[in-house]
Amino acid sequence: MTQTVGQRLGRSAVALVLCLAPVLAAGASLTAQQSRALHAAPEIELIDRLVQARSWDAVYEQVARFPTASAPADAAQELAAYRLARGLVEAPMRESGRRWLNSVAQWSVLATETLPDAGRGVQVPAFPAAHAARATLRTWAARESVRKLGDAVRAGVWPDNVMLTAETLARLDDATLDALLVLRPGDVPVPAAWALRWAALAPSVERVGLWLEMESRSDAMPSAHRRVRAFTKLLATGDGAVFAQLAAAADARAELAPAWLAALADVPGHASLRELQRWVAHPHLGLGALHALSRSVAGRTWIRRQVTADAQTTSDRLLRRMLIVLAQRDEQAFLRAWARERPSSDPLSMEVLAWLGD
Amino acid sequence: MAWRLVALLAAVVAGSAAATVQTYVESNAGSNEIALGYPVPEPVGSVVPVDGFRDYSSLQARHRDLAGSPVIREERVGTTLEGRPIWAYVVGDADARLADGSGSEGVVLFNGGIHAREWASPEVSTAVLEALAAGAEDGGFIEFLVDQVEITIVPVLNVDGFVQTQRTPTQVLRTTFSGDPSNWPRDGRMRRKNMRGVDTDLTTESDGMRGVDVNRNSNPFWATSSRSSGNSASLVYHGAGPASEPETQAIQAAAELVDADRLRFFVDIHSFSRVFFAADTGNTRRDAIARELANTIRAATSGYDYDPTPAGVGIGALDEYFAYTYQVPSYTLEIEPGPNGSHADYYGSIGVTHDGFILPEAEIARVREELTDALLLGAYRQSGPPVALAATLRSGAGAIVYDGAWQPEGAEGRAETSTRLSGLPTGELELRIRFDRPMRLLSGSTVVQYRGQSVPPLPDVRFVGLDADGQAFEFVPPASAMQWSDSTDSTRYTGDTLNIALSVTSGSELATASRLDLVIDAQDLSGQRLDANPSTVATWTNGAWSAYEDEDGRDTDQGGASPAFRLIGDGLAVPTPVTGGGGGGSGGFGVVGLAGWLGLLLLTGLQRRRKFLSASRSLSSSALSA
Repeated sequence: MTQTVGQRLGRSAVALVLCLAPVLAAGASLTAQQSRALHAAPEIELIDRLVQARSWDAVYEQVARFPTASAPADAAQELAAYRLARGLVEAPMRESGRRWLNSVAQWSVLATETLPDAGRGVQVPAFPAAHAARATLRTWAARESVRKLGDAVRAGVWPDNVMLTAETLARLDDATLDALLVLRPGDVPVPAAWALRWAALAPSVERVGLWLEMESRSDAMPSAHRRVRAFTKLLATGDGAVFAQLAAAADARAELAPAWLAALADVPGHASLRELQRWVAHPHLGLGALHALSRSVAGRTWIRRQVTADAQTTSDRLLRRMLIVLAQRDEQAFLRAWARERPSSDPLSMEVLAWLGD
Repeated sequence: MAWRLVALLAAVVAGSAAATVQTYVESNAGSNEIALGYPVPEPVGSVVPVDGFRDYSSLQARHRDLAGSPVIREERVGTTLEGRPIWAYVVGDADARLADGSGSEGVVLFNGGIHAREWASPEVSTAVLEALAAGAEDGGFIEFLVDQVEITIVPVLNVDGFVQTQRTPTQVLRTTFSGDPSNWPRDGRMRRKNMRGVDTDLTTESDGMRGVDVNRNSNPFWATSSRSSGNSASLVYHGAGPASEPETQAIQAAAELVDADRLRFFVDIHSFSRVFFAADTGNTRRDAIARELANTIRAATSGYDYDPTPAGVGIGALDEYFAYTYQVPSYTLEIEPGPNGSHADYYGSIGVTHDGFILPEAEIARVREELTDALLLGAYRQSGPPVALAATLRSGAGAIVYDGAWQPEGAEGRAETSTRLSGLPTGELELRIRFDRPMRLLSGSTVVQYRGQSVPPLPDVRFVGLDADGQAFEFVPPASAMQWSDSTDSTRYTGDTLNIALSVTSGSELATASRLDLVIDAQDLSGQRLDANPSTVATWTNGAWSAYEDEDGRDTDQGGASPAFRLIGDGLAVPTPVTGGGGGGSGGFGVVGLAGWLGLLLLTGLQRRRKFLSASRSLSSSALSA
């Protein structure tokens, strides 16, 4: 059977109306069938095509055709707004677009989907148009900030009223960023991620010091992953002075030490090995140091040597910790041999064999 | 034959439709990227807690290190489909007896990491283990738990799934599986199920949706609900049969590690939606206790809800299994963020569907601390009701003039030992009432509330007696005369002893009493009232407390004022247990019960009581001091 495009669209529209009838109320949960039907609607496909083709005038035509309302009329409109709001991220920043995004950003959620989690189901926004609009506005703000920062560099003055966000940072080229550091007044705080990028661009004691200072600010959003990544980047430079500076910071600031140990494992080498060995007897962080050491062949060799050669001087706790990390790294043969050397009633050797499933 | 092939092909297509690998990013999402609006957490190789999520290897090293403590032991309770051990950790002293030796300890079971993508869960379960290890000798709240309860923790149940999410911590497989409402992320960071029938390669589409939802794999409601599925591609695939999965068998084995008959409390830790789900079983007393316990625990959280499912229906979840099998308070704890997309704003995120599973790193330390406190409060409460174990009266010179105590007797019981008085000595006296647990938290010598709790700083303590003329009277020491013990003068745990300063003047009712009982109406730090009769040890039976009497000797699960000590006179004041109705008892309270006794006071001694109270006011203002 042959159908015209118009016939197909007509059938889609009818199907869509039937599907959407139950979801007009705020907070109504979509079924899988309804959701799929909405996604397959020609209007949605059109928006996606236009955004993909970067046909911005046509995208703005779609925006202009959108009724200006304080809330979505139905789930189909909410989905269309969601796609448009996302699509505008890289579009030219026009005043009409900004007005529209600000309006959609105020919408409450209409259609939801039920995640099966929580057993009884968690309702999450199916098409979070308002959130997408807010995200796009944030991106536009970042784009404007990048422009202002570029202007500031050209003018040789640190700019006021610029939000130093992750989005802005991601859009800045290295040269502009470097120039900004020169302009930055000493008392202006920056996010740790910004300070880290400066330090990574050209590691120096001064730049690393700035990162360490910003990382420890109480208003910084703490992130262990960011700290590990930062230490790893800085360690990878191989700069001895930076290494010493970071090691001293980890000694002095307990909140940095776990990330420091994890990063040392990521950048193996003689200096990392020695630094980790320095930490193994630490009552709180010693296991972390051993765990990091055990990730390298050289580290495991050193641990095995400690287990066998230094039994008299190693405390029970440290010995047990060494065995724990070896058991995690496929050192069964070594551990079984070690256990055989101990009296059969020795609790630790029995425990080690239990770890191995013996 | 041809149509069968077509049907088969259609089924395969439906189960493994076109899929794309997508990547979570903080911002500036490009093609096949999903922006969260905050830094995307990745697992960190740290064994100690950090502002972030630890990788499995680090967590496991941490658990094992903690198991070096004399009060923690590691037990292998199963093996995953990929051959990894599933570990449980049992925390408690060696004897399985209450600290005073009078009865058996209760058992508590916490499960973490049943759903792979819910990374906050293993962090919380590990934090509970860390708190117990760190505080095992704190001389207070934690030490009491170690002494009085056996707490089994399975920090990561679905080990294979958890490792799979951490293998590709920023990537997901996006599918168009016909059972999902839209293009939901699956596998990779968003894997929920175990790894049955799944390989570890994210890009192979045919298997990415497989696996069994371990939280749909249990009796008694296995495969009975539309919220589970027989389709192996479904997020809620219930598996081939009840407890078909090694993870389900492992958590059941964890319950049996100690003594499942002593189980009193189960929590399965998930995310997200900031709620305690529960399964009512139709056992009225169990359901009421579960509700009350949930309310106590919730008060220690930042506003978690409580949502019980009516009896007789379920989805095959673990909390249902424990609620119905063991008739214990049993919950599915869903860690924050809240439902309805509210998380989108308070973390600064942008409302991506499923982002509630990705808690920002900056939030996890707070979540760990809050929920550890909440869960341990639940364990404290389910250790059993508080008991007044001893009362000692000393003269100003320090000599013991009365020493009453409830000592263990038989397997489950206590007997009173005391040196009865013929009359109270006059002068300055100090009364010390010892309870079986830390009744209050103290900061220095100042009473502080446990997180979110609001219990009276001091209990209601009164002397109830008959004077020389046989007239009833009562004397209530003023609050200024009472003080909880701190770390320097407690008996076993900080805050387990109440010190009361008394001044008995010649000729007063106290000095001339022909019978004198000490009646204590105290709540522990969770608000739970005393077991009025210490001679019987409260225990958990068929979904309710047994031998947890109120002031009239009834098993009401509520407790009440305890006339635990008779200082002057014959017999015991404690009420004899009765199984229903009201009243009943022995000794001074035997005829009418405590309520009747107090009523009798009102009827017969009103005039004299007024006179006495006036005298006691005078005492409190002049002679009594704290």
